[in-house]
Amino acid sequence: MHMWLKVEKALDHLWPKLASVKITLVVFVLILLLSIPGTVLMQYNMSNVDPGAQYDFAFWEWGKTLQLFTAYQSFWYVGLIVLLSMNLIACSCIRWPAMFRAARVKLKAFPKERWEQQAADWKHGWSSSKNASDVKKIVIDDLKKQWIKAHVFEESENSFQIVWQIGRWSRVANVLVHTSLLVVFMGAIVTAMYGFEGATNIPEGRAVDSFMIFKEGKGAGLVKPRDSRALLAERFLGREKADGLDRFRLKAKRFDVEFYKDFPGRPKDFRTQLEVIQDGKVVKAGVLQVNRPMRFDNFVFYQSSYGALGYQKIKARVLSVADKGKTEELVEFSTGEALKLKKFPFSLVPFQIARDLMGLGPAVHFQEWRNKKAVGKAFWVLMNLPQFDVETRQGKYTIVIDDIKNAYFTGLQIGYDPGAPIYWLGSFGMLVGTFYALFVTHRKFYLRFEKGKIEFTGSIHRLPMGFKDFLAKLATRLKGKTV
Amino acid sequence: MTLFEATIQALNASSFFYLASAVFFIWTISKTGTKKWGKLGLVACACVNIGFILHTGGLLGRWVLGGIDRPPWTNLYESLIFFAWGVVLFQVIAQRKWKMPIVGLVSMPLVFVLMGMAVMTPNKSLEPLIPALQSYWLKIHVVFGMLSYAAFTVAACFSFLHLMRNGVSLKKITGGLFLLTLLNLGIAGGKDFYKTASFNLTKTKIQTLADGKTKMVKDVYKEYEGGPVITRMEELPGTTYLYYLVLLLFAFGAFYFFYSSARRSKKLTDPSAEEAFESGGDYDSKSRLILYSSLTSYVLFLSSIAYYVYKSPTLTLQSNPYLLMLLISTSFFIFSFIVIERNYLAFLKYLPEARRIDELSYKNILFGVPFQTLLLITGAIWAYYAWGRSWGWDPKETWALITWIVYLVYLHGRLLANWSHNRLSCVALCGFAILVFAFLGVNLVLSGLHSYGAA
Repeated sequence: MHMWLKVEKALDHLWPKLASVKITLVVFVLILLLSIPGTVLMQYNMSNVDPGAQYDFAFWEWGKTLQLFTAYQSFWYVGLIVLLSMNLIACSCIRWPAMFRAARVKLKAFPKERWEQQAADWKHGWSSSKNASDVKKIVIDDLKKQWIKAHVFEESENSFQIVWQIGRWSRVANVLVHTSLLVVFMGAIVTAMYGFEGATNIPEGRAVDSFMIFKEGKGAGLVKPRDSRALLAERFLGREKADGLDRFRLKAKRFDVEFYKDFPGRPKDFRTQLEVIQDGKVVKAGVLQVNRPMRFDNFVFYQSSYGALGYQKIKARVLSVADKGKTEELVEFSTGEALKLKKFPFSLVPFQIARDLMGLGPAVHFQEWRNKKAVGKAFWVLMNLPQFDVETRQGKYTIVIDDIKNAYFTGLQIGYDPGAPIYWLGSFGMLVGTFYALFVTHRKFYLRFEKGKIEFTGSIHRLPMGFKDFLAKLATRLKGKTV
Repeated sequence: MTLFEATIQALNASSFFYLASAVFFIWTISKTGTKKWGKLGLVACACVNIGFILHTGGLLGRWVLGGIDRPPWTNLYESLIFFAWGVVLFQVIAQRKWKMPIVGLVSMPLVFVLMGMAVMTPNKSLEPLIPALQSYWLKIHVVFGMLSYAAFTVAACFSFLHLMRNGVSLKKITGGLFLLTLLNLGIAGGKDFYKTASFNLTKTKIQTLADGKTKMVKDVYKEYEGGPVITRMEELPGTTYLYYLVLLLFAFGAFYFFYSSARRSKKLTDPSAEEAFESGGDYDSKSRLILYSSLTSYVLFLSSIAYYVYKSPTLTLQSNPYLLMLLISTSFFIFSFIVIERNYLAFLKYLPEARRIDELSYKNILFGVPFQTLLLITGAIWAYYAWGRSWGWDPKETWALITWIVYLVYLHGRLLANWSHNRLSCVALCGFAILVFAFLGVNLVLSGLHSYGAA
């Protein structure tokens, strides 16, 4: 036998087995159980904490082989999803044609012998004083008002049946659900292959050109993918070769954080004024806030966190005492960093900050530098009493402090998610499909008229007990119209 | 009294009405010989209604106080209350529309546990929102979650009743409850118990002040500035042996009940109450002995912890709402189980036919699944805007997915694999257990981004 005939025969054999519901249920239960370890164990993609630091070495080695720390990207988890998809496709091929046929099947009159067999609480009957054509017209008009098509089956001159149905397409709505699920998987595959998630911390006022990719635990440059080719180039060619592509830098021009007054330590709002710089020019600028991301080409930037940098920023003015403050220079110091002044021939280092100096309020300890040497003694400048420095030190210049605040870094996340449109489409389909499939029921109604007597019954494809009450209510309504 | 105090009082009062309704439901079925839904039942329903009105008022009051952008479901206290509200909403629908008030026998004690946990949560303040929650998705996402979780909870209540009414051996059900208790104790004890004899429920947050003294922290945010806060577990050496005894007794009990119940009783279709009793009411004096001795040891164990905590200088019962709630609710559940077991036939006669109960369980799951789908999708959309990824396998997300999959198992088992209604009821009950863990356990046990559970 030919090799590929064998394969075909094996497939023929395998196909119906793959479509079995048992596989679906077993895979569901396995996915359910195997989702749990990833929620208990530290994961690589969750944060930038390395799971290796959390567990002892033997467990770590063992877990790495089983891919326990990348549980949702592991061979066993992905394998299950693949098996589920195959099962779903096989099921669809086998079941869907029959489902569509069932939904499109023509309505038939209720068989005569079954009227008798129908249980008493499913059957309603009353006598009517109207003649056949009047009853027909009343019922059909009533249905027309509700946009329902009535099918009339004449039995004899004086007897007929009116049959109608509601929600028959809910029987095939599951097709939409299942197709959409496959679409979601496709979107996820695209994202997993070409997309990435990364994060970077930018100190206020500075710029960065690299960030950490969570998935791989390594740094990467901020490459602008013209059409995602550049990114692929980096993935496949390596960083050096992809380096020639145009890079950009991210600058946190300003960062602000505001706290709730009554709840210290609970942030109310934090925001970054972000600039995208390319070839020395600002190509995009905007304010980044939590829940308000910024887009640049295919990248999306998100405000995710912030933190203290461990130093303070001091906004101050340096004034010349000799000309009574006419020479003035606005400066922003960072603690521990020497700042060369422009209008004065020396540098100043604020090396210490006191929250409350001897009950006189905040104060900064300054040291003057000339030619890389400290000059004179260090001196305190009080924020609330600027004249203190002038009077006690009697120097040629003095400093007025306007503001002292903590310096922060802003924590950004960077996402590149090319699969998003695909999986959002899938999600939408799934949503519509689930609601239609599970909220709408397929109901059929049969009304039979014979010699002034009307009989009424119906059927439903699930939830029969609740339907009985509905049927009774509908019967009372119809009775009121046709009696 | 300010509006804030009034809302707290209304919510406290509502939980007492729920307790009262639960007691009346139990009382109703304990009246042997009266088959009809008597005055006691009406009182129970009235208690539910009054509680529901107070509950709704309290929630609305909190919404008014917090402002339109701060809906009352943003921290542990409010989530518990909102979830309980959803379950009561379904109970009210069961009373009025489905004519099945008896489900309150199972749902109202659950509601009382939720409300009780909320009432005893120390932090009830109207905390302002952190930036990640400042979004209109907060309103949408959480409401869908509440609707689906409440529907699933009520479905589980119906399933529990259905198992009994369908003639499943009461011994088997007891065995299942024993297994559940074992699991619960195992999780609550945690691995620390075996190592250090300190119980997870005796956690306290301790703050070391500048002068070296320590004090207990109730509201982490308010007292944040005082100094570092650490979580400490108190050691309870004496109770360890009782704990082992309880585990042993429950394990033995579970084994005994499963082993001694009729192996494969004949499958009943729509049994009458008498038939169901004949097949399911298989308790004898030996089973009662095992049941009561295990329950006594369990109560002893819990009270020993409570006594320890009461005597301890650093721990208080108020700081351990879960422990206190566990005490009250388990005593209540044990009491009601004994009442039901003693009046089993009368109880079965109260229940409508098995098919009807099963259908209501199914109906609630049919309602819950689309909303659970909505919960997952709106969560993904929100995460896409707030955190930069739509799906990040955060424990909360993953557990919501797990919950969803359990109910998919239910639907596929029902629609395609023709599972028996008893098995489906068991799936619905498992789904409820997982749901509870997804709703509360994840926040209390695992770490993650959905931080509202940090009490």
